[in-house]
Amino acid sequence: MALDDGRQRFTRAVGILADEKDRIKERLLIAYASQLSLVNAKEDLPPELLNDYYTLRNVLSDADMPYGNGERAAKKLQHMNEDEASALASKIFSIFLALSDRMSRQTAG
Amino acid sequence: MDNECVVAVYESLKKAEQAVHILRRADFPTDQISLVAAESEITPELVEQLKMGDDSIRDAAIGAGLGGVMGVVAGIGAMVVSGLGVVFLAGPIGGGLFGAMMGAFLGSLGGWGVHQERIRHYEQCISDGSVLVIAHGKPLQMDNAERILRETDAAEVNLHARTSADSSEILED
Repeated sequence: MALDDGRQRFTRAVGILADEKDRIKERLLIAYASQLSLVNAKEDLPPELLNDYYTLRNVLSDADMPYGNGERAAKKLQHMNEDEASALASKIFSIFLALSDRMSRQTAG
Repeated sequence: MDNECVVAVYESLKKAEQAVHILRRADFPTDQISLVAAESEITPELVEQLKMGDDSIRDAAIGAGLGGVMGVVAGIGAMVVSGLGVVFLAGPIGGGLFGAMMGAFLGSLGGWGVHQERIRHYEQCISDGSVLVIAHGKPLQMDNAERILRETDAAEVNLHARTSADSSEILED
């Protein structure tokens, strides 16, 4: 059930990236803050995707991490250019695809 | 029973609007979100958004059943809806009728665990031109609201609980 929570968070994040009207950086902030910041990684994601999620989270918000710069998503995104933000959006989409694929295989199995 | 709230302080109305929008995209109940701004923040553009736009504030207000009274913003320069979706308090803060409204609303924050000293701080923030976004609700909702609002461009994000000493964190730029 928890894995489904993770998949739902990423599904909604991808939806936000697709349907918001603002620039990619604003869409990314909305997607991360409203959905992905609420992911409880160890419960909501399979082990093979934890590193990808932690990497994504570290780039977008490292305030809770001892080795980070102490910045949250809004501030981190201000320092990014559009290409960097687009790459992060692609990363979110790839995690979403991996989660969907895993859920499909579970259902089929 | 709702006995906690998260108060986020923004340096501009635009940043506060974005925060409200993000809360709504997280399915946080509209009728548990309040926005407090001084009169100087209520621009003609904002009034237009409230009346006609598809912005989050307009949606929040309509969600709270306020669509029919939007016109008063332009005519009177004030809209006070305490405990519902959107709260605009207008006029010179600290004096006169609007000052009393402000005091009454912010005083009601005490019911959500905000101590008097912190209420005075929020009054000062509004006087200085900042905008407050307040989410209230049950503890689990507040945990999520705090996590969400921390990621936004807030000058401060504080969690307040009525039944215990404040658990607060201040994020200073």
